[in-house]
Amino acid sequence: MLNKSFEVVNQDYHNMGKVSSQIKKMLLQIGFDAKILRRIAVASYEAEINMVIHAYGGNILMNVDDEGLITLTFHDLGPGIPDLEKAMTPGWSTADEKARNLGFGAGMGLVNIKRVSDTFDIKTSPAGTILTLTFKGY
Amino acid sequence: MSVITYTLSKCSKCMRCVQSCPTKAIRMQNNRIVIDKKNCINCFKCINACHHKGITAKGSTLDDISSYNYTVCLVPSALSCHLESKHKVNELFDALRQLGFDEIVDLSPVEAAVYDKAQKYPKNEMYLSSFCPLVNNLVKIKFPVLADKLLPLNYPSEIMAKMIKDQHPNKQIGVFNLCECAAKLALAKFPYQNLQYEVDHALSIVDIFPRIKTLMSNGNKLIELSKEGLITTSPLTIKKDPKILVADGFDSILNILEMAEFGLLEDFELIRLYPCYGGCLGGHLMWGNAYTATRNIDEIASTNVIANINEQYFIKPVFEDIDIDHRSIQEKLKYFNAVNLQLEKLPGYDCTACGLPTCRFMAEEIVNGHKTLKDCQILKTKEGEI
Repeated sequence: MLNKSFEVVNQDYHNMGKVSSQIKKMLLQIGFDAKILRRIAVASYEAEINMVIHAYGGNILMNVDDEGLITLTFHDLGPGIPDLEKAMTPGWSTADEKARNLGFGAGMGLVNIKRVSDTFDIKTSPAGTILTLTFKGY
Repeated sequence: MSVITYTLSKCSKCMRCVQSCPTKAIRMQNNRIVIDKKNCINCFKCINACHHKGITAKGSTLDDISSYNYTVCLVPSALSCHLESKHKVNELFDALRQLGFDEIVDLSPVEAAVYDKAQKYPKNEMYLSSFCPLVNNLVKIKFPVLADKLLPLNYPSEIMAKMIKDQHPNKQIGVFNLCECAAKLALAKFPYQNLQYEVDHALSIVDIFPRIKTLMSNGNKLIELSKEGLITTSPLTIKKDPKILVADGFDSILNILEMAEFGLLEDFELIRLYPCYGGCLGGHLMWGNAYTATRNIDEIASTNVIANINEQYFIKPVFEDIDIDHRSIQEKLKYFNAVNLQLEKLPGYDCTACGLPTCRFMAEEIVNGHKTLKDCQILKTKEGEI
């Protein structure tokens, strides 16, 4: 069993992706297969930048259980997703100009995350969004 | 598959090499540097880091020519590009003949063909070009997630060597490749016993260049270099294509590979990475500078020939050398947690004073039972102070 918590800071474009990098490195050190790592890398990066750009930061929890199931929980500080159905539509985006200029905010975030993860659960309210993803490591 | 050797009998133990290694393949053991042959990618960083010139990468010697009935010397585009004129190229080929080679073969049309093949390779996703052994090894060691994204195309030197050998099945042929970087020294049977390769001997350009230089005085036979091949050796000259991402320099390629792992480069069909600045022209075993060499290309090229190569030669043979970790997930997690527990007790400076590249290596050695916390030089000093 392994539990790790990482902090993500609001609008911190400078360190964007660093948590995902750490998560990926840690899972590689444990000895997970490359195939699963790729999916996790794609999902966690996407979710992490969502937190930085839209969701006032928050924290990311990683849990690896003894069966090899990897659970990533992205807990952000708001403002929530007003229309979840729209947010799950490819191409729909609310990213501001700053984010778009940097190449983010193409409106594929949640769609891609759902595509690569084994289970996808999202709960959203104005106080924040909790995104829970699992990956079968074994 | 390291070609790096440590030659000092007396080392100042500055640990610069240990710290410089991007794959953490160097450690100090019993006052000597030990290089982990499996994790070394021949990037040359330790050689540059050593102030005492104690680390080298050597190729075969010219004496090996006499072991064969018939010898062929392969000349890569990267070498030709360092010559200023067609005349100089002719002189180089003539000088190599004088050294004792029976046939001198220019690789530029083959390099052109392999790059052409890479561009036309059917892709519905992003691929990494596979012509740099350093990149291939770096991906396997540090970015295993991308290992299946490497194009399954063989090295130009290997393709040429195989074609030559197939053309003369009855001759005992020795193929020698002139190498512009340490990583390519590993792509030959000798001197590093990598018997799976077709090239027999890898020669280091920088080592034989002084001899070539003295012999470069005449050359009547015109050597027709292919511009299509010459331009593929450098990011500065390669043809621009919006579907192809080209990058050079070690730090840049680390950055690009990380982006690729996060799935951020899926808009590209091909990622072509040159760890050396200026591409292969800037290989560490080359005498000149990559940036000045690029202007020679128009001067020395006479054709745009792309070699016509039979499909079978492009396929890169697969050499299985992957260690499969048979531990269960419970065992893996237990080990990882045990290492982290020790890591928390260590200072975390990664100072290398203990001889290991990072504190994590030390923590692993403690868990493996080979070292104790007392072997940490920092903790030892702190204890002394108290």
